[in-house]
Amino acid sequence: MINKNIILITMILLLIGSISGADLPPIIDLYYIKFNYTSGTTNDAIDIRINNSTDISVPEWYPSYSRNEKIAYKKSQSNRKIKAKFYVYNGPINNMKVYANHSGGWGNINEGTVTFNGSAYSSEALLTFSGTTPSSVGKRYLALIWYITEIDGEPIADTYIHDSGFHAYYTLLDDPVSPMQEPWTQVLDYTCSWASGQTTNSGTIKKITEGAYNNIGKTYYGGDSHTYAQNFYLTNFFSENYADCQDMSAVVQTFSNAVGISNVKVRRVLGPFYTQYILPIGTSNWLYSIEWGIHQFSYYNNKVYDAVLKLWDPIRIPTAEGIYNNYYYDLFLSGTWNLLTPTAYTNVY
Amino acid sequence: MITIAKPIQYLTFISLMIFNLQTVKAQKSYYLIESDLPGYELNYESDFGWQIGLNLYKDCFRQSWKKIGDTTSHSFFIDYCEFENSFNAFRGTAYARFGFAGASIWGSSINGLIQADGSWVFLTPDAMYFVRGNIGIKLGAPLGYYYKTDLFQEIIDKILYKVENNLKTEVYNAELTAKQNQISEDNYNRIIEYSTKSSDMVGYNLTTEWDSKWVTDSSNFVMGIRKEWTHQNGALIGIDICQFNSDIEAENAAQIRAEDAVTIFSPNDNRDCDHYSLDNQDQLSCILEKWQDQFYLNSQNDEKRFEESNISIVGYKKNIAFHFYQYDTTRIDTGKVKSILNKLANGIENF
Repeated sequence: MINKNIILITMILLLIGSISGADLPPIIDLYYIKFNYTSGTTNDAIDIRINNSTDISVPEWYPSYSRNEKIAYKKSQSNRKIKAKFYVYNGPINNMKVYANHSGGWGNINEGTVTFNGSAYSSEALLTFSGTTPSSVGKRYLALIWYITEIDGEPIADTYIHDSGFHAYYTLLDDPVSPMQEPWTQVLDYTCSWASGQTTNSGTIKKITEGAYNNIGKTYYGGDSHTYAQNFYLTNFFSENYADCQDMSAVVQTFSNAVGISNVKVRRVLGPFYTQYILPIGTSNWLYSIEWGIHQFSYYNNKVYDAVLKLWDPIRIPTAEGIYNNYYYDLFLSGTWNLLTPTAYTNVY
Repeated sequence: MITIAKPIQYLTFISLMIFNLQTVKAQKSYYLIESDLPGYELNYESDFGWQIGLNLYKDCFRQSWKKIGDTTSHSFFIDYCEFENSFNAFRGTAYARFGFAGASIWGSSINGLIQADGSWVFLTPDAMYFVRGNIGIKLGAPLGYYYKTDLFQEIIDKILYKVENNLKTEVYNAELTAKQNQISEDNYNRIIEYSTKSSDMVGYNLTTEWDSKWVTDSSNFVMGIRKEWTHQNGALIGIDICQFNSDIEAENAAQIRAEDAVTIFSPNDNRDCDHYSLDNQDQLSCILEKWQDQFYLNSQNDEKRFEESNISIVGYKKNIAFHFYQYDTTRIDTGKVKSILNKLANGIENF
């Protein structure tokens, strides 16, 4: 809601003004900010959503609706623009100039012109960040402190009008990739934490794999999956406490897609085969000679990333390993190993 | 502020309505509802699916359930998969179980009771598939949290009751037709009495029987009779027998049943003795050796495997196909299995 104190002060000033007839300084407030104001990412933030069923509303920062949504940008991007709308309580004014300093972000908002043309609400002003988005994956926070420098062509001393934020923002490696072309914040919260500081695709996938194994809170169960054909039922996956190899390979693929890594695949092995020593996700006892009908792992740049198990010698979550150097030898004990061609999940629900 | 908010709230309401209309799938009359399971509530319902063949998928429906008031993320689930006919349901359900790392076995070891036209139980017995008519069902309690034999049996019984009362007319009529050509109870008993009255089955008492289905290579099925005997120590023996019009039909149906009932081998595994002729002792020996090999190969940790308590053998003689299976937690005696099957051969020979 509009700050009640400002309204009260405004009403008092208006009352005094009407009695005395004196000219009062305009009282101006920031009304909302749009970070993802148009499709594409040429100038603005990335289109993201909260989860499968809930999109993120724009304007993302909209105090009248108690709204302060998360935003996302590609790494190392300059000239990021926003659209901001302002409100004047005791106009009319025609235009003004504003800028914002930042705290915790990557740059200030350059000075720009806001047009009112006598209305209480301004037009949406297109304003530009001065700096460059961070160069690595992460989830960070940005606050903007807004000032007015000029009203109707008359320069004024820099006048504070409002803080906005903290705006939580994710930094991704690149444009998100299908089926996570509109990433879920539910996913980015994990990914940008696990892969925080990473600047490369391979480094990020490695961190996602390790993060998923260690921190996604699932326990291995080989009798079911949240995947079906090329579909990954991620909402159901999040709501339950178990996972199989298909789930975890889908996690690595789609979570990588969410931060902009393409060509991440999954590969299935048709068994049955017996395993060497393994420590399945969420378990605490090493198992030997476990019978598996199938197995599936993530596959990127001809390397294995397997978030469902640890191998024994040396103890590790397999990342960036060649299938036959040494993943296969450390996993396979006996039986059938029929390696299928790579494929990918194309739908996430 | 209020005037702005109203239309947005209204639009949100409308969009939610549209969302729900798009995502809520038509409920089938055989799906369980909350009044069917007092004390439990639906966690979620969702479109889902099964892989029912190589690159072949089937849209299905999943319910996730939990105890009312359970704030953990534990749950149990029921998949409902409706097929075009009984043939596709049987074969599709038999295949669907291969889509997971966990291995499964043919039968009804959950409670020593036959569960509909066919059932497959995972080795960690907290999930199972079963099929009735053209409906395939998967019931699972991941991590065993909700796995209780009584609860599973109660759910199975309720699902089967609803499925039975909602069978498609075509399915029902096909079963009536097949029943006309079913082996008679007398002939069934005549064939098996050499085995059941032998010392090999002392202590086993008849518990359940079912009109079994043997799918054939003509995308149809022939009806047989399946009976199970249980021992007071919990062991179970099942014998399913079906009579066909010709020897070749019996052999073909046995081959298909062998594929569908195979214990741990995945569909891509080509075995040289997955079913056998009762006249061919070499083939029977081959099957039993294969069965044992799977344990010897992996017995380094000398840990008794669940599969060692289970055996499932499919074969044929003349125009009769049979399916013998046994669960015995004290370990299967292959000598007795061989003896029972040889007596079965006598029964068919003298029938």
